[in-house]
Amino acid sequence: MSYSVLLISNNSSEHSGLAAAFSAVGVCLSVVPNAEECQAYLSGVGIYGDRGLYPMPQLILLDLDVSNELGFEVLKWRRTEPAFNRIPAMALTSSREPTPVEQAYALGASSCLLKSKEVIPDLAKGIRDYAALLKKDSGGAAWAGFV
Amino acid sequence: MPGLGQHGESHGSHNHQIHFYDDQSSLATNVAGYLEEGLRAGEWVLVIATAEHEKALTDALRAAGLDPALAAREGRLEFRDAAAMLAQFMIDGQPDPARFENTVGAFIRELRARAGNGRVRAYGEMVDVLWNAGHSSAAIQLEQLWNQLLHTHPVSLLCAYQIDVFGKEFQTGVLDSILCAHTDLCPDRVAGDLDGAVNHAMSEVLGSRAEGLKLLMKANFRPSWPAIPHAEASVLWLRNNLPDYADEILARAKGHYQASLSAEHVSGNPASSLQ
Repeated sequence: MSYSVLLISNNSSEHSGLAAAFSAVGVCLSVVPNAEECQAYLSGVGIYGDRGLYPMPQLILLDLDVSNELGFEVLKWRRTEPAFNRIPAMALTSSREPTPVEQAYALGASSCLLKSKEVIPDLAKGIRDYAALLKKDSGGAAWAGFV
Repeated sequence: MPGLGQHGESHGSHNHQIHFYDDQSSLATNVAGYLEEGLRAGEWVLVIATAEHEKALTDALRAAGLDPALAAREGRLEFRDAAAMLAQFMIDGQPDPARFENTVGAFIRELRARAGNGRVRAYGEMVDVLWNAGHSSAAIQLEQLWNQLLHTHPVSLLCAYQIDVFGKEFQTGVLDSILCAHTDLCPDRVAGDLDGAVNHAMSEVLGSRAEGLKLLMKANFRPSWPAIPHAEASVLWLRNNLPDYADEILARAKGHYQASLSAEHVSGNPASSLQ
């Protein structure tokens, strides 16, 4: 697989559909359960030092349906880390509740994507193409969001 | 799923539109269309504009078959100079809420009373004057004051900003506060195919990847923004998410858009003749 996306989620039943959709379009979806593991993954600490198994992602995905706070925690950490804060972070939500979405934007998410079972395959294709452009351009460092 | 640029929450009952323009002739065409709509619907119309734009708007209304002089004599069309109006409520570079209320607020109330039916439509360039002078925070503050006024005195308001949709200034980091203050982004009424131009340029630069990005744009959700036409929303998305490609895509899109305008002009589209 050529492209890598890191999903922050602590609910395997929620992200199983995403994993299948990403696999179908040739994207490696790695999942970490919390901000600490996200930091370790991106920093290549411990088991994450094996970039063959744990490739540096072109994109970070936050599932606000699983936990708003988990997503916000990662965004807050990321904005203080110059080495990682240019990796785009996108939020996923199936809710039209504005508050968490606006908070995610305020903390540096570049997009919030409305998801449903029906559109997950489309989102996976879109994210694959986006990751491909980021990888070709600058290895995941091509994002202008205000962090 | 909403289209890209659709906003997710209500901004209340008022209607506060924003329009971005690059050249004076397209501004006259777009704003005159907005004013014409109101005048033909029996609304009372207030225009707070620069002297140069007042003349262009008057000419455009006349070209549309209206009699702006008669409407002005009847009190249904009022022009005010933007700089002079600003001078009445600005203090130390910021709009003063009390003075705004006593000038613009009082005038809106008077117009609504005169209109009888309360139906008033306004077009304002004071924020554009401030923005062009580099006073962006004052422009945002003035938008907030307008919003407070519109909540108590619901009129239809259109603001214009001289910002090129294809330029670097048209991006989230610059425009977020301005966008959040409005309910709708008014599309360009000049007969050009902006959406087609952006799509064409995306395909040229990104190849088959463009289709995938359009899926992400379609799913994008920004509740606090106004309703934004697809083309403008695509530009904002590209500037924010794909900056290293955005300049090239938007330079090409501008070329395609201008070519589409020229084609419409050659074919004798009446909108172009207003210029």
